[in-house]
Amino acid sequence: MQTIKIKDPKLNQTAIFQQLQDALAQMPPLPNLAQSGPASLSRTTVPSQNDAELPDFSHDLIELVDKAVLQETEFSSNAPAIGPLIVKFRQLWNWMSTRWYVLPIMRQQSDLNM
Amino acid sequence: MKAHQIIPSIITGDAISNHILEIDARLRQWGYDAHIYAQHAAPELENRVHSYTELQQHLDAPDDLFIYHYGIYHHSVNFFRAAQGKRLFIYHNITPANFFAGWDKTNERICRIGRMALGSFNDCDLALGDSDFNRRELVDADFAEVKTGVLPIFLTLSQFENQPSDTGLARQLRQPGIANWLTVGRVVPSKAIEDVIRLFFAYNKYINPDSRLYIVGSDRLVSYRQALATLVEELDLQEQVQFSGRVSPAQFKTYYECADLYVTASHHEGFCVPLIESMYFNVPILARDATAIPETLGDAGILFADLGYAEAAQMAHIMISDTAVRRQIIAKQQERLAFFAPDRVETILQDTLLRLGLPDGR
Repeated sequence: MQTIKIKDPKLNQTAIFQQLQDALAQMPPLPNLAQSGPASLSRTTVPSQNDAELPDFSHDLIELVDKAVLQETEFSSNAPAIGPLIVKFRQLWNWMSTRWYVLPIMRQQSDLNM
Repeated sequence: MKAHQIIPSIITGDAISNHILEIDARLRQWGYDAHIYAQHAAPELENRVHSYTELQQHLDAPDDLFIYHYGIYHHSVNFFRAAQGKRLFIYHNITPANFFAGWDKTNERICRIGRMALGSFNDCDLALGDSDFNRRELVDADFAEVKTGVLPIFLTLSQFENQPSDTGLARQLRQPGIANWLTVGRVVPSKAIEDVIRLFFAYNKYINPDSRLYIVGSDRLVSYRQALATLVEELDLQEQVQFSGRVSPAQFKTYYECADLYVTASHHEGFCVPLIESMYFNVPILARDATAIPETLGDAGILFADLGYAEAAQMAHIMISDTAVRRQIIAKQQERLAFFAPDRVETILQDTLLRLGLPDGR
């Protein structure tokens, strides 16, 4: 009975397997179920576990994916004392003038890149 | 000390999302200033989750803990890569891309890239899998074995205690003399739902016609869902097989409460949370002997190998109808459930922090 695996030692395997064999002897043969349904269902095969192996181009591919999603610019300023004010002003100006127009376009491009 | 957990997306009711929230709660309890970062967060979690871009300001902190939850490739991994503090990588597994070949190009591509990139995180301080199966995949991807470990998922099964059932659905499911089969999870090719349907066919047409199969879970992969519908029609099971799609928490609980047997034929699982849920609801489990499934089951449940529809269907019949066998299977499953108790996972998390040289709250 290679199909069934029982690991619990408290279950009486001999009795269960005998019960199974008796029932199977009474059961008419099944149709070829593995081939039933559309052909597309038969193509699902178990892949080898090593498709984590890296083909030569994989690092380039990962880098491309990393760059695929466009990031918003983080404003910064090295100006002493008034630097934070300049950053705040740029953020406000961007929020008012371009954000609502540019951000949706960035999202569209990111979706396309992915 | 600050701790930052990063995940691309966090929602409610999802096992990995719950796991992250549980880790967050433990870290806070142990004195950490803990935060969660994501690109997408469910509206009800928005007040607990920061935008992942906010991580930028913490990357240089040498004493902070950064935990990345990897179950899909996402550009937020670059923050994890750049972080100067302790870096803990938690691998939730990624479905091998070939399962999606011919069904879904986007998923195939994302999964392929995710698995390709896995090895590039092997310079982290520690890498954990939800199961030893996942941990071994890390080692196969060139992570140093000594820097790997296993942290099972925190399962918040107690949430079911306060969750009311759906009484209308329960009335519909609990019909005298009807045996209910249940399978839970995303309806995707790696879960081999077609094999569950074929197995159910053998049971329904040759052993017990008074039976139903409920397939509960998101079924948005249209091409695969349609192929399964064609199979159901070809096997003349339209009346007996029902796809629920995503269900409410009340319905979710009710499906388990009314199930006589849980069946999975999945080819690929990194942990398989529905097995634990079945143990909790005292539903006997019949599962394919594949990937992390035997590890999660331990000595509990019954396993089947490929290409044995008649044997597996007869085994299902014994599990449903033989009271003594059924009782012992449920008892063993309850024993196994204790292995995943939150207290035990909590201790493993503390040991993990200790391995990283960080305070563990003890």
